Amino acid sequence: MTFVTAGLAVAGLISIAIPILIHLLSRQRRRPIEWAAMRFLLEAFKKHRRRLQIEQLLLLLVRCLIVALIGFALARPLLEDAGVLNVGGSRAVFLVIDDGLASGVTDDERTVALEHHLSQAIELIEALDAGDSVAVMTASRPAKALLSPPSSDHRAVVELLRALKPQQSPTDLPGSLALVREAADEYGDNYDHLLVYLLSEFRSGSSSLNVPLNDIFKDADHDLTLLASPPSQVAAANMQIVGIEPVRNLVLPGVLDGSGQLAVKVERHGGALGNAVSTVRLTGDGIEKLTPRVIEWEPGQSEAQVEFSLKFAVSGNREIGLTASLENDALNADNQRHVVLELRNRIRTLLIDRRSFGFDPSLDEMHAGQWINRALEPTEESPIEVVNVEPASLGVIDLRTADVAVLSRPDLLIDESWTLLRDFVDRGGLLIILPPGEINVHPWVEHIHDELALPWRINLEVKEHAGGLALANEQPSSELLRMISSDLEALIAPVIAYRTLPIDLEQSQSDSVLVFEGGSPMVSIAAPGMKVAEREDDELTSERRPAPSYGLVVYIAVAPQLNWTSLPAKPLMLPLFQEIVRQGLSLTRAGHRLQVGERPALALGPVVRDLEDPEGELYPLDAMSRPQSSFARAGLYTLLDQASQEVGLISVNVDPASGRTETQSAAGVSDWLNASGDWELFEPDDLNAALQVTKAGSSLAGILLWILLALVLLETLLARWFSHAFRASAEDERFGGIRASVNKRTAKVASI
Amino acid sequence: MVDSQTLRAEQYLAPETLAQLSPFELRAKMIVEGVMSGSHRSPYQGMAVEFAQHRQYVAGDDLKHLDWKVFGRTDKLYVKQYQQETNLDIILMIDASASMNYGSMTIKKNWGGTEASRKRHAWTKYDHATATATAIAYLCLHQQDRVGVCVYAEEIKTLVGRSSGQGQWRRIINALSTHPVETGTDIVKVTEQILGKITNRALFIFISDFFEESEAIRQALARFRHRKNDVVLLQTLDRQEMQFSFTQPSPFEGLEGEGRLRIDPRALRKSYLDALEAHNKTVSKVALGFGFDYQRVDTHEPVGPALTHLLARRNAFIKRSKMG
Repeated sequence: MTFVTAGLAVAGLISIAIPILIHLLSRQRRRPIEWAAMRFLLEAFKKHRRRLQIEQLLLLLVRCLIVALIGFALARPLLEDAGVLNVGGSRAVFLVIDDGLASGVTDDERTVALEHHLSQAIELIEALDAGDSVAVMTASRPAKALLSPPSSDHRAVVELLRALKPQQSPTDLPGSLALVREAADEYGDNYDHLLVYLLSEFRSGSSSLNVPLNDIFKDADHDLTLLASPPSQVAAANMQIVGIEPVRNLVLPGVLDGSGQLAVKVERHGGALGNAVSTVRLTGDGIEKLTPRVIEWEPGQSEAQVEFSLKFAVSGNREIGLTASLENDALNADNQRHVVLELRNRIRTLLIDRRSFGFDPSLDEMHAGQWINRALEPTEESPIEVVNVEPASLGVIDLRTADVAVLSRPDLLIDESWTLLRDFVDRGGLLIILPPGEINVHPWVEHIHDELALPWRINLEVKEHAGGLALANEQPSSELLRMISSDLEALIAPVIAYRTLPIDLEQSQSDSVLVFEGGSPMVSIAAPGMKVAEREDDELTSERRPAPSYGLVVYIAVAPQLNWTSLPAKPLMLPLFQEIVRQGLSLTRAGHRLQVGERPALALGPVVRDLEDPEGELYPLDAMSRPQSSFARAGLYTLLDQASQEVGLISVNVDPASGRTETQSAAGVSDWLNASGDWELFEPDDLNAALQVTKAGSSLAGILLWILLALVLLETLLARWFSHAFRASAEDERFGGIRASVNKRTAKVASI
Repeated sequence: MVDSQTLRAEQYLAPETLAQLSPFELRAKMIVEGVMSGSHRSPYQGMAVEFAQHRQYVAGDDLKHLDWKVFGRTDKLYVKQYQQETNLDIILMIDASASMNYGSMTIKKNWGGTEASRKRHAWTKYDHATATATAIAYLCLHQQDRVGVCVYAEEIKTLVGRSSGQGQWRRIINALSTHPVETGTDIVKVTEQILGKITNRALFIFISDFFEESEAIRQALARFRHRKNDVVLLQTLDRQEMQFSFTQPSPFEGLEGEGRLRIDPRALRKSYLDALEAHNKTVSKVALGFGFDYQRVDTHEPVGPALTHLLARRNAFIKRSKMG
């Protein structure tokens, strides 16, 4: 026999001692009554001794049974295992509510999908017995055990459910089912039946059938009945802004480099893709008012893009937030998208190179740093400001004020400087590394692997190309050189390299920007990974893991000087370096695009202490620069310093994929779910069918309670009967009569 | 300054008790021998002042008692009989056994009482017995009867000889200050002892709860009857003993060493009351069978009414006897 709450059963058994103890204690506590007419009492006692003993024993037995049964009834024993009775027992229902972004989709009657889920859940709770318990898990990321362990306070659960609203974060069904498994393992012993109800419309935004579920309920400690609501087959036409992409996130107003150009990408799905007209608006502080763009959808067309050309109404170094929006449709949360642009007057570039003194050298004597300096700041009006710093004297101050660092003499850096550079990149800086042209053996490349943790393995020795090595005709498509991609073919043609310090392709995973013939990259770009020390620390947890690097590192495999390559003398030199700096910096800013439901470590610098969401809710940052809770809503978040002063903006957007409203077939969903256990799709009209099955037979607790009531009644009657109180009145009358007659006689005589 | 002895006597005899008793005289139902002229009939007919009756002459009768007038009219010899009024000897028999130490009525201020009641803060049966005894003694002494007191338990504890003198009242009060002892009663033994000391006929007034074997009571009363004494039995019981109205299960401990018994009083109430009532009836039946008076007294009731009832009954009996 097992019990839902074994402790109560034991307590019930122990409680049998209570009436016995009371009986014994009451015996000891009462003071004896001195009695003169003892012989008559003894005479009466001898006459009724046996009957009194039986009465007392009977009463004690009934009282013990009552106490024991209370414990048993509360413990709700399960006798099926013992085969004593074929009865049902208590149930725990785990409600998994999909309250993710897609649950906000409305039907033709403007009813939100989540409300359907909640109605079903409440109907289910109302069909439960009083002894059943309910746990609630929400599936919006991060999945939460809203109510666990299961509670039998059904009213409170219903109130909790009614307070649920559709969230903007993606649905995380695997995460919520994992929580169910965890709770079932922990509390399953307390219940006879465990039922899991998964309430979702299973639109493609909620459940991606392409990503298989893990076998979450495999080897579960208890048998679980897994039930899922059938996938909705009601089409819900949804249009969403899937991207808002400025040409450059770092804008140099007034510079004709494409800054201020911005594309908004729109998709539609979930309904009939017929003719339609949509209007896209772009608004924001610091820009002049823009005319809305109209999309005239062709039949079958699901994607569109509109472009805006921004005119800035402000100047100076600052950030502005822009919001693109669409008209309301079946799902409104994905009709807006936000982006933050950083406006800069100039880009400060730190050129880490040995300074040269004296007269300007001739062209063939110019070293790499000098060429780079000329390429980045060809005129004094250039938006890129180049500041030279000696490699050996590189300090924190230099890097703190720089946007870009160009390292042309890595061989001259001390070890500590590599750490400073790593910090610089982690905070969102762009680091450009070139091989020093003066040496043939390059031991400094070890730092690339160890300190910057880049996925590259750079050769230690310079490779000579006697015949010259040209750039390949077919170059990879790269975001870094997107702005010059149309002219790139012509620009790269005359460039020849005589010497290179190449990346060892066999050991590297490189995101190449430009490649030589033969595939060896000339320009590569990557984000630093974890440091070696951190990688080797087994105790690092996700909580302790350092913040990811938000900067980028660009490696150019040739030293831009004429004894290495013809590049400095070719037209590619200037646009190549200008674009690497400008677009590379833009790409580091693009790394700050965040999504609802995430709780990332942010590279915001030590000044930022809190984030404030569009509705004024504060998100304090922890020591790892992670908000203390996940982003709950999309919008432009304000960065606040210690004095709660605004120091910047970040944009948080919904995940477009989680807002997709296409319906999915019942068979497909069923197959997908079955990877994690034996799921059944219940009929919406017969929501509590499974409950009826598990409720077969009457509850033993109910039987026990009836027995208990009968025993209480019996005890009352027996106690009343055995107390002889009901006879007292008759005896009072008899004795009262005797005494009254005595008094009557004496009164009569007294009156004579 | 109030004399402590006086105060005690007054406490024994409350004014309202005396007020209730004053209209009556204590008359012996049976003719008792007296040494002083009083209101009681003398057993020695023919010698007294008041004519009683005629009877036929038998040989040996004193000729001076012949009624010659009757002989002249009827030619038959009748002797005149006279009734002499004598004093009454009254012996108050007070039961001081441990069972008399019980009382359930809380005493009130200035009630008086004995040492027992002061200890227990309750009006015990012994208190009621002494109050009754002092009332009777006062009344009897007031009408010149000789009064004696015997306090007994398993034997005579205190005996105050009969007297109607000035100091008798004080002696009686002193004797009654004996508080109950911790033993039971042996009425047969006490009867033997008292009858050994009181040889002439007297009125014995027993004030006791009579919680002893009815057979012993019968034997004792038979002895009194044999010696042609008159006996009045005042069975003094506490109201709780007669009602047994306890409701909580409790241990009961006998006052005369019967041991302790844990019972639910409600369960045994009927049987107890039946047993008590049966015993009382037997005692009453035995007393009446010998021609003695029996009266049950409730200690929660005042002393006066019970005594007036007893006296009224006895006076009525005596009057009926005269007329018959």
